Formats: sequence, structure tokens, C-alpha cells
Amino acid sequence: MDLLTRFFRPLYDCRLSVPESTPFTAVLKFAAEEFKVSAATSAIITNDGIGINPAQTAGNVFLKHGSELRIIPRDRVGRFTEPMTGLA
Amino acid sequence: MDVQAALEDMGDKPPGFRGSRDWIGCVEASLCLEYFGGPQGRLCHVPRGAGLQGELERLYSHFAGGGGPVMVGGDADAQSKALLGVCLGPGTKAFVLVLDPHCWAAPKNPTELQIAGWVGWREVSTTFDSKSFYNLCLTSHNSEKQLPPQD
Repeated sequence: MDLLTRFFRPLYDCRLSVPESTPFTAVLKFAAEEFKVSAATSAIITNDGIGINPAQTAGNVFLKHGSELRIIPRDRVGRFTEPMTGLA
Repeated sequence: MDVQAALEDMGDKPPGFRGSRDWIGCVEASLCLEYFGGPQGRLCHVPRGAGLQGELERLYSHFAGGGGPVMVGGDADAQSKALLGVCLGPGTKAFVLVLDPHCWAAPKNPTELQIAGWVGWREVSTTFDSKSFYNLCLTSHNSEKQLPPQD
């Protein structure tokens, strides 16, 4: 059975149809190519913000989270170098 | 190292990530919260240039409803921050209570943390870089329901 998944990014959306056994890493790769972004620095989340581990099948993701998903860039965190001054 | 091991074991990172100095951020944090059975971490993406002004009502509702700290990560702005509260002032001024999560000391009291600069109120318009996108990870207990905003 093929799954129809709809991806959103600000101003764009795309639809992908994949077999349910497709590794979700491949779905991420396809969606990233469609939006011309790097799959390595992108992540898939649900419309209500749940992060999706890409190491599972598309069928699993569909069952748990539905088929309307978002692709976002991954952020990175590091050291806060400036001393903060509070208002109080 | 536990976080690195978890990300590699769950398949989000490739073999060799353990022990590396590769970056992680809010996405990895939310996956780890689920993996370790911690509080729920919902992700919110703020596009480059948008600033946090558009998310203030959401943050207010989050904290008013008993939500936990909000992890913040970006790209151009890679200085990690944790938000502990939000204050909506008159007009368009807004402030967030920012904690530097790198604090390692054992302070005697909250004032010591403020004086040392580890926590403090910061104006939203100057704290966040318009050249950066941001991801927020809003933490809350899995069993808690969000309360409606209280005026």
C-alpha cells in the first residue's frame, strides 16, 4: 500500500507517495531534495511539533503521527559567551 | 555521552557519532526526551527574520499552563538559551527570562545566579538575532493538559 504524505515548509508544500515499507530516512531525503535543502541538516516534525525519529518505516510514522508533516532545519547550540545583565 | 549514545542507538545519528564533537540542537533534545522517557518536548520552528515576537502568545500560554523550560537553538545564533518565563509589557515591549544552561556552579541562592549573569530578564527584540532561524523545544509533563491562557 502506498502512503500519501504531505510536507509543509513556510510558503511551500509537497506531496509524496511512498510504499509503507519505505525507510523514513529515504522519505526525508526525497522531501529535502524537493525543497532543495540538505537532508543531513533537516528534520521532520508533525504539525503539532513532535520530532520524528527517521530510523523507522514510513508506515510506522503514518500510523503514529498521521501523514501531514513539516520539514525544518536542525539548529545547533553552543556556549553563551556574553555575560547577561538582568533588569533587577 | 549518554545523549550521543542514545542518538546513535536510535538511528538518528550515524555510527561514529558517539565520542564526536558534532553539533546537536533542539531536534536531538526532543528525540532524547522521548527516548529516555522524560517530559514531552514539542518543537516550534521560527523562520529567519521572523523573530520571537510572533511566538510570545504561545510562550505565555505555555508557561501559564504549567509548561517547563523552553530550549532555544539557532544557526547564525548558536548560543544556547533556556527560557523560563515571558513578560509582556505595555506596547510592544516583551521580555523573556533567560537561563544559560552552561551554568555548572552550585549557587547559594537565586540572587547569586543573577549577579553572575547565568539568569536574567532580557528584552526579546535585542536577545534574538534576526539573521538566525530558531527552533524552540517546549517541555511539559506528558500527563499535563495545557490550560487556557489567563488574562
